[in-house]
Order: sequence, then C-alpha cells, then structure tokens
Amino acid sequence: MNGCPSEFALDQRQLQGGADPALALHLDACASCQARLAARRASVAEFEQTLAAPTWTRIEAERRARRRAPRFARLFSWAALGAAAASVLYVAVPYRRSAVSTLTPKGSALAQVVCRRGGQTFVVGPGAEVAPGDALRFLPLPVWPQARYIQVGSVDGTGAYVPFYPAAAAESVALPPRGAALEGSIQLDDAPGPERLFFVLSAVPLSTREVAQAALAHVGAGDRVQRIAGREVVTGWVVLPKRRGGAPASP
Amino acid sequence: MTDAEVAQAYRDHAGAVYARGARILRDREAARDVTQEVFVRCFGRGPDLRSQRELLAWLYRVTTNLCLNAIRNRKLRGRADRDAAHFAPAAAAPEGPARRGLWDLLAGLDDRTQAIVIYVHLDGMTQAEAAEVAGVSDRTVRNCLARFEARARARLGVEAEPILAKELS
Repeated sequence: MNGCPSEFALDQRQLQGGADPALALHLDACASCQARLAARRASVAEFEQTLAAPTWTRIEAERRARRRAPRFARLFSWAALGAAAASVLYVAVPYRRSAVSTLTPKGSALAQVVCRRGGQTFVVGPGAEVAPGDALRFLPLPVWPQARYIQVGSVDGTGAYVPFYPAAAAESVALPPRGAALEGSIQLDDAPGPERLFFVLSAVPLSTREVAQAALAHVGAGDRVQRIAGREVVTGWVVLPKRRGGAPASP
Repeated sequence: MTDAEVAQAYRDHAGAVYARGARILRDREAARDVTQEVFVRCFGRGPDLRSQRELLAWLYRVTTNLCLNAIRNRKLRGRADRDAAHFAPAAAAPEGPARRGLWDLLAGLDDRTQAIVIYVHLDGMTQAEAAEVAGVSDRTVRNCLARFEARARARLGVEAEPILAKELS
C-alpha cells in the first residue's frame, strides 16, 4: 500500500481483527507507523489502567443528572444578530414564579436572548414561546464590572439541568468582548418545557457541577443566587414556555 | 443506544477516543473531559448507529467537535500559556510561527472545514475517509481543503500540509 494508514483505518483494522494483509505488511515495515502505534498504545493503556473506571463513574453520574438532556448544536453564526439585538430581552433577577411561563423584565438585565427559527432571527420577547428546533444565542450585557466568566444552562420540564456554556468543559467560559454574543448557538430539542435558563456571571471560573447544583437547588423558587462554592456571583433566570411539536409562528 | 451498547462501546473505543483527544488537545485532563462527554452523548443516540463502522465514524465526529469546542473555550479563557503549549509544541523550531499561524487560520474557518482539516492533516485520513466521517461528499472535502490551503498560502505564504503533517510524527 502507498502512504501510512490513518488512525481511522487503524481503528477499522482493529474492529476487523487486523485482517488486512497489505496494511499489516506496511505496519511491519514502517518505522513512522510503529512509533505512532506505540504512542497510541501508551495513551490507550494509560487511560485503561488509571482513568477508564473513574471516567465511567462520571459518565453514569452525568447521565443521571441530565436524564432527558436537550441536544444542542452550534449551528451557525448570525450576521443578523447585532441588528436583531436592537431590542432587549431582560433576563430577570429573579424571575417570579407567579409570572410563570413568561419573562419577567425586572431587576438587572444579564443577557439578551436571540432566537433563530427557520430563516428568521428575532429577539425573544416577554411571553414568547420557543419550540424544538429553535436555536438560541445569548448576548451578555455589561451589568457587573467584576464579571469575567459566564455559565448558561437550562432546567427543562423534566427537572434535568443541561449545561449550554460550557457544553463539555468543566469550568465557566470567559465572557466575550463587550457587545459580542457567546460563540455558537443552542438548539432546543423536544424535551418538555418550560426551558428555565440559568445565567451565572462570576469573576473567576466556576465548576459546571457546582453551578448545576445551584440551579437545581434554586429553580423551584427562581431564587437569585448570590454565592456559588463561596464565590460571589450574579445570577438570573429566564423562563421560556415551550411548545411541543411544531414550532410557533415567528413574531 | 441501549445501556449495554454504550457500555460495550466504551470498552471498545474509550481508550482510542481518549488517545485521539489527547493528541489533538495536548492536554490529558481536557481529553478525559472530552471522552466523558462523548460517551454521555452515546446514551442519547437512537438506533441509527447500526454498524461498528458507523459508530466509529460518529465517535470521530463527536470527538473532533468537542475538541474544537475545548480549543475555543481555552482561547476564550485567555489561557495563553496553555494555548502556546498546544498550538506551538515545537515553538523553538523554525516552523513554529507558521504552525501557530496555521492554527489561528484554522480557528477562523467554519466548523466543518476545521473538522475536515483535522481529519486529513492530523489524523492522516484519505479524502474518502474524511468524507465518510464528516458525512459529506468527496467534493466537499476537496473544496474545504482547497479553501484552507489557499488561505494558508495567501496569508502565511506557506503550504499547510508539511507543517501540519509534523503533528503526526
């Protein structure tokens, strides 16, 4: 065979029990591939010997925490975001449960929420309803000079908390430059609503696990949370009623 | 996927997912986080991953996307020291600045192009393999690579492939 096999080809070979003679011949003769395979084997061994079991425990715990986790995707960048953000949705601090399923524009505004549905982009206004498939973007507002980091997540109708920013990392993401939205977008899935978005501003990065715990502890009353893991924070909730099935008409 | 299928996939592939994440991110803890997230997402998958080959392609795709997210978050956090370690592991070598420039260039491209560049230049995939993993046509792969190469030449005055290929060594 010509050229060295890719990682993908090597993985396929493993799945097939190493049955490709041409590949085996190449691997026997190629010093570069042998070095690459040795490095790979070392990394795999490191994982299997020390990390596999505790990581699996974390996976199961995370799965329980998310239960019916909305799937999210970073779909697109919105050139129209700046224009659409001309009007403001206030992420209220705190939301009032009596206001239910609508936004309560009281208190300090933490972020604008912008929705893309079909070909339309619009700022989510008070009382607006979201739907599966909607993609949301968030534009943090400069409400707390000490704020350097942000986390955004949602407690859905099943009571599961799903982190949006960051989606996979263990700590808060840095705030974007003033006037810029958080990178990417969040696509809502068909988990039951409402989507109760939880925004956390902090001066230092916070653990996503601790923010999730705070969200779940306070979602019932929509309380403002002032400290997480002993660190001062500014938080806000916004409740988005969610239609099941087809999307509502864009405003 | 059922619980049993996810557990089996974890036994079969978690080590490889971790190794690949560590190679892309140059950060073991971040690679572990990526591995965790990949298999958490397996639980949400439907029965569409019918074959081992489809599962493997999906694992590559999700791992790549999560690694790119991790790199973006790392940059957003301004962790310049770790960025430097990641983007310029051989900063003292003559090609160091060009390599950094290539990564910066890559960061400015769309998600699909970033992923395809990683498949071809870091994973060493053929264009056909990259097309299969990315779920796009061969032509799309060629176009993405051509766009990346053209930008590299125009902005940096270098050919991307020889520099990125060093990542494999």
